[in-house]
Amino acid sequence: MTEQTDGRKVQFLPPIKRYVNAIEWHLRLPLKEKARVMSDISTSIIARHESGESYEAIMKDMGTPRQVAERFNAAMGVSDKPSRWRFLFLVLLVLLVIGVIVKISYEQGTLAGVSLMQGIVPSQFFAGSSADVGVIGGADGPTAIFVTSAFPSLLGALLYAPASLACALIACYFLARSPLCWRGALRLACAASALFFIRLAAELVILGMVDAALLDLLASFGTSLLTPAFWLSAGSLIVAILRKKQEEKEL
Amino acid sequence: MESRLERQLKKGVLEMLVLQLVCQGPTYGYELLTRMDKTSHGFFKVKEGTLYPILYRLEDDGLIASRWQQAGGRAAPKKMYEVTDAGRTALDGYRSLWKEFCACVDQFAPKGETEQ
Repeated sequence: MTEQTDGRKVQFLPPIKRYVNAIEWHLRLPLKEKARVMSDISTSIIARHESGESYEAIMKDMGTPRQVAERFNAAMGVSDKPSRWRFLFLVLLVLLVIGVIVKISYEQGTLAGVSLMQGIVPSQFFAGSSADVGVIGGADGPTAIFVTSAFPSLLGALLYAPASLACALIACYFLARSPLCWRGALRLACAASALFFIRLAAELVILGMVDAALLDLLASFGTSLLTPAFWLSAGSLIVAILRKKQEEKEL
Repeated sequence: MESRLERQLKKGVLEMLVLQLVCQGPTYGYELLTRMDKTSHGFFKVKEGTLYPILYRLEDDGLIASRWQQAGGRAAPKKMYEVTDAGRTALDGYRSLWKEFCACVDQFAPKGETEQ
């Protein structure tokens, strides 16, 4: 449908179409179920219109799109409460942004970038970069001595720590505010721990295969401790314990 | 405004009533809504958001089946619901349970009230 406004053609949907679209927007159902509901709502509206009811009367009788959708959501066993996991995406987004920043700085060869990368991926993945190698003597001669400096590992840990802590604090803040039950928090703690240990195991395996130096192992374990997965598992474990105590008190 | 008990009771019997109406012959959503309203004299004035999920449950349980029927002229196609054999058997079970339920509830009523 089009309308002439100030010499320009403005496209807009008829109210009934917008009404149906709004219902679909508020439905919190799987796609298949949503399609089923929308098909039935549309045919029901058409049937009512064919029997002589005006679209305005139909919309008034059915209620607001939110009310219609909420009835379906409630009847089909979907809670209208927002998902308990919605903030997980926020945390992941923060991590992604940090990752992108670090990646860009790393590619530019800055010390901070390399150091930050050490906190995210095993050091062997980026070994050989100009910034993580301490050079003693002539850089271009056969007698050049290359020493992998311990300083970037430490600096990496120090630089990565605030970022990890920030992520962990954001995650814990939203976790504490969420209506997550203690079992849910415990499941989250298990998932985060699994991620942490997978990352640790990957690093240990790679280090073990490539370079079994104990110092490197300890250094990598140190930076691993600062990963968001570690803090997230710790935070969600604390939330789980607190929620359990709270639930026991309420009983 | 419906009381909580009224809402709960209605919710409990709606599935049986919908199945009963579908048992009477092939029908579609809007017709079910109007028949429910008329037959109960406005007591069961249900909305689409209540009726369709019941139809979905009945269909998913195999008690009713649906098919699209092209209407004559310019009328839009309708989704027709029909009862299945399993649905008829289930309805018999629901009816017996309902009778048993009513009889049991009536036993709690003060003497003489049930005969009135």
